[in-house]
Amino acid sequence: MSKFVAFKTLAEMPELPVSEARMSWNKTGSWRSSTPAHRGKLPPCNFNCPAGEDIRGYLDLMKRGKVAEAFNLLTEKNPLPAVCGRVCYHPCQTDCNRQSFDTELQIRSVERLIGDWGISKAYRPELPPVGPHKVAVIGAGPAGLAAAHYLRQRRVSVTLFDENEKPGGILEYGIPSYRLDKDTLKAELDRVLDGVEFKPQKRLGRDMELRDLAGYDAIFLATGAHKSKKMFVSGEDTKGVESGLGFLKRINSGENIDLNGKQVAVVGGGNTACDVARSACRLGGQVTVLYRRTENEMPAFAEEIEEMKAEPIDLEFLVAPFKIESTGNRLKLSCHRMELGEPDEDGRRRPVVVEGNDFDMTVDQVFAAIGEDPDISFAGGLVYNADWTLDLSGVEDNLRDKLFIGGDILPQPRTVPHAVASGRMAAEQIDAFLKGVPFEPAARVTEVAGAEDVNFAYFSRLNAARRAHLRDELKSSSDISAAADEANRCLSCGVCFECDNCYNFCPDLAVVRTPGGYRANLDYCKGCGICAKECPSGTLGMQGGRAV
Amino acid sequence: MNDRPDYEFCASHDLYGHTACPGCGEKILFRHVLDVLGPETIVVAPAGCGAVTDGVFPHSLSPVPYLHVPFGATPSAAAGVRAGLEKSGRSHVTVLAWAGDGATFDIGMGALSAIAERNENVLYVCYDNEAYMNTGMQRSSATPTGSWTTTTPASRLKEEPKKDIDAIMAAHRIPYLATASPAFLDDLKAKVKRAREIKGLRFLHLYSPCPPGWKSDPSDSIAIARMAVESNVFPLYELYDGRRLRITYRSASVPVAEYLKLQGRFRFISDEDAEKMQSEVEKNYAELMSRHEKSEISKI
Repeated sequence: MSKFVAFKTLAEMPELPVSEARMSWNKTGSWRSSTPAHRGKLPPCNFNCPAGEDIRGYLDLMKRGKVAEAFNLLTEKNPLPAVCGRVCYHPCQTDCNRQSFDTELQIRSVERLIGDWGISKAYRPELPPVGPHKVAVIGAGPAGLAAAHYLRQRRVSVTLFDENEKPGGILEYGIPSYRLDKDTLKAELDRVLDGVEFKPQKRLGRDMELRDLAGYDAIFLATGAHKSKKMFVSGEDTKGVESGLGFLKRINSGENIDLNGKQVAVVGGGNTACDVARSACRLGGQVTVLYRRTENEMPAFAEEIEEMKAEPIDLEFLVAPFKIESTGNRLKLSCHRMELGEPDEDGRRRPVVVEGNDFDMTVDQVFAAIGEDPDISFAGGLVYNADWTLDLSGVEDNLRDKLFIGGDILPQPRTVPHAVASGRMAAEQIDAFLKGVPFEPAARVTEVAGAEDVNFAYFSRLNAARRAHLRDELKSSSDISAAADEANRCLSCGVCFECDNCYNFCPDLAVVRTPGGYRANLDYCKGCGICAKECPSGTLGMQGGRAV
Repeated sequence: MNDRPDYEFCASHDLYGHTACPGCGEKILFRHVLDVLGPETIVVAPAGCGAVTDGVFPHSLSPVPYLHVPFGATPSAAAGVRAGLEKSGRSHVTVLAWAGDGATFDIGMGALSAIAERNENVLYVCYDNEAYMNTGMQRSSATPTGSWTTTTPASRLKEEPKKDIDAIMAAHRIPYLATASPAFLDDLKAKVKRAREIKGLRFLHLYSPCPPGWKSDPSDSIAIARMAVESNVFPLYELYDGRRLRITYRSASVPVAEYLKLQGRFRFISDEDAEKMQSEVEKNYAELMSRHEKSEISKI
């Protein structure tokens, strides 16, 4: 740094006015009344991902062509990218800040392409050697898979039990193959279960008891929710009435089912109902979906409803069956007409019977898909409280302390990413338990970067033609470079991507590059705020006051 | 993730501690122009923001010789420095005349015309903040119509249009002329690089936001500079030999009103004048476009 030069006498002054020092002694930081600072906001995609993926992070890696790194970062939080890239309800895309600008990033398709890349390359991260601990995981659905996978990565020896022949749970036996093809699922599960011992056809309460697992250091229970809810209509045990989940399981187990020319009624409005209706339609059935409220109240995800409506399926709203009778080899379905009344406790309007408007329909088959409940009666000692929390007081003492529970048994949204997150958290929790250290979940950033934080001047809009086809193009693409192109549209909301704007536009050269980012040189920063305003991602903001 | 150069002249030479106002456009321009030109440069600067913010005697911000000369003498002094360098065998050194709009559009006009006519080997840069800002925001012939300054107050805003300095310089058929903006740094640096490689008089007209003079928020400097380009108030182009024109950035042609509303100096402009400005801007840009399309270098 240059020193301040002061002349005490005339004799000290040079004959010509020549500079003798530079200006860096002049700490212009004292002028500052506001200071650049990181806003510390999360991108909306990361915030909304139930599985906790660092979506912005892997999009950034994809932008730079680092596919393997992107795959690793993604599978750090979700071991099932090829699966979730197909079946996830993609809340990551819902609040994408691109939405108001052109159209939201097709994150799910990018995830699928990354997952498929892992499969096509038979990509397997190296497994660490197994440590001294053994854990039993019961249930090979998304939660159990994630727990088994992450425990094995944490050097735990894992045995995974499932009542079925193949692992996957709902992925294998629930989700229809037109949404998730079996080859992809098998390939992904091969990687996820690398190093995990899988024991098929072991059902808790049938083939084994909880106490048989006392030899394990911990037990993770994730048996899911697949007890179909009762419709509570008379004659629901009549032949020809079946639960939707049971029907999907039969299809997925490879059973030959022929519904050609048959009239099929599907009762319900959730995701299972959509899957059942579309599967029955594919088997040749003439499908009518009966739902007691209207489309607005359907609990199924909007995309599933859209896709169902695109098929030759009849949707009957405001209809509720109350009686099923056998008429030889067909079924007579008696239904009420409904109307919407007052909102109930979850805010949806309650369906009310319209008296005197009942009608009958004749069908060959009825599938009930009005929801599922978890069933833990087989686990011995476990009971639900009224609020769906679990009462473990009946479990034997030596088991209770090492019993961990996750997935759809818990009162949480029943989606694949939620189950995955629950399995991963359980793995972290069990790992801490085995090491005897307290478990502290990572603190969550709650502030989300919105469109107002982004400087759109630094991004270009998609033209209308591209916009119209983007979603379909990416959905059908099998080219990893399409994922990189799409990742290029990422605004990186709230997270620095080292564009150099703050550095370049600083009139005072008070922004210093550091490895992986920048720092303000507060000795000279005058607080003009250009860096914050020109930050494309909204990472930087101005803070009142002259922080030093 | 950028291809960051390991070495940048200004960053490596402590360009800190200058006395320019927060958000100064001139200082953004200076560091990037100097980064391209490097150490083999002599700056010749008249009175103006660039001169007073270079430092207080006996200190100087500049890592290269920075010669302070009288207001109207920049072109002549630069030509003199050039002659001296040639005589002493240092012809590789760039002479950078660094003058504001006052010293270029008004006070140094005669001498500038003279060195342009003689095609002196000087890189003349005008950082244009559209008034005499450091002396207290008096209007210059670079001040646009409808703008407030201390000598064109709200009761009598500037009526005359901005002097078309680029047309005047083009009429001298100098080898290179370009306009550039701090909001488009890649474009700016490319033009400085091109100018450095050409011999003869090169004239760069740089747009220089001035928060105190324009009554704008210091943080808006780059946003205003970008808007000036996007609204075609300050189109980016280059001109070879005064004839072959190339537009270097296709703007989004946003309404001029978007540009005006970011600046307090235009707060008093009448709707009529704003509309006139819009139509003037459109006319000028259409003219530029047609010259660009006729020019054989437009396909570069």
